[in-house]
Amino acid sequence: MAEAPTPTGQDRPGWLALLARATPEELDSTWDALPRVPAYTVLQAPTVGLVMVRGRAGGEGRPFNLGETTVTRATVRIDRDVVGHGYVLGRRRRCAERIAVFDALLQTGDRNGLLGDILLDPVRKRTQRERARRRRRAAATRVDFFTMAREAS
Amino acid sequence: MSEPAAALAGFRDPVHDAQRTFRAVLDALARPGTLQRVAAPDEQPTCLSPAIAALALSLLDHDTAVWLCPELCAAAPYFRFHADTPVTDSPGAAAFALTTAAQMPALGTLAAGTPLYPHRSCTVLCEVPALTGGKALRLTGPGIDGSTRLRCQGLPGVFVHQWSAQLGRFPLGVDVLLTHGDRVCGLPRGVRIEEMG
Repeated sequence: MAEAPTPTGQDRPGWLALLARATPEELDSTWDALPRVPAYTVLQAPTVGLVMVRGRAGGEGRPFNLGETTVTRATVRIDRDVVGHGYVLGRRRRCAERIAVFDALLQTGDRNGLLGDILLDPVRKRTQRERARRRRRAAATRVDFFTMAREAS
Repeated sequence: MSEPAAALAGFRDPVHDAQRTFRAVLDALARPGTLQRVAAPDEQPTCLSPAIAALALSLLDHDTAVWLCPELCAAAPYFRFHADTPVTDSPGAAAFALTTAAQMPALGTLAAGTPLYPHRSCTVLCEVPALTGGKALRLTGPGIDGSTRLRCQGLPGVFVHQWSAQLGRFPLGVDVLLTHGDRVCGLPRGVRIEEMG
């Protein structure tokens, strides 16, 4: 099955993907490490909702509905006009709100590269490690099917 | 204020503020001519009063097509963000029409429902320059003990005439909510409006 590449976190879709994969502990410790928590306005308080997850067999079949999952989202504003969104799997209101603040901070240029160093890089490395481990475990049980060529009659 | 309308906060407490505002709308429609107070949102686009913004946040959702008069068009991203509302170009297709008094479309051009489904009609949220002073209107009908007087500025001169015309089509017709500041005043389709001399 084709796997999406691990996001680099350089562009907005990339860092949002990494933020969504961050654990609550990673988000909280980064939050506490901020030299100054920015003043922000909540535009949309964290809301829990359902999202339909769609899948494709082997990554290339017909799309089908796999099932619904809970998603929490939030939107905040900093610096008068920078709007940050936070989306995260599950019922994690605090995480969604903090991700939204991080998203807004990253848009304003991530002063001193702090967020990249203490949050995005560790999350990317951890995700890569976990993927590699999963791939190794799957590879150990891999079966290659093949069809014998039929004899010419 | 130069913020884009999408980057503005809505209700601080979405569930309860929307319920309080909905209650104000019910009271306004049950007692035509009285002024009810809504729960104002934290922020709203500069072209909207707190009252019309609160009504819109409470009443609009992804199923209600909304038409905005040219003066209020700048508020479209605000409604899309907070209420996920589809904005329509045609007043006749709208479940809600948001307008200033000066740009109010003719009532006859709005959806009036059908005899089987009279509720499939348009509700007009109309922002007026003031809900005091101005021409006095005499209201009679259901929800009013005898008659009551409504003072309101800025309604187009033809409004009372158009209103009488739609009374003849009852139970079809549109309902109007007049807003100013944080107040709303209801004109349900069954009420009779006359200009006072």
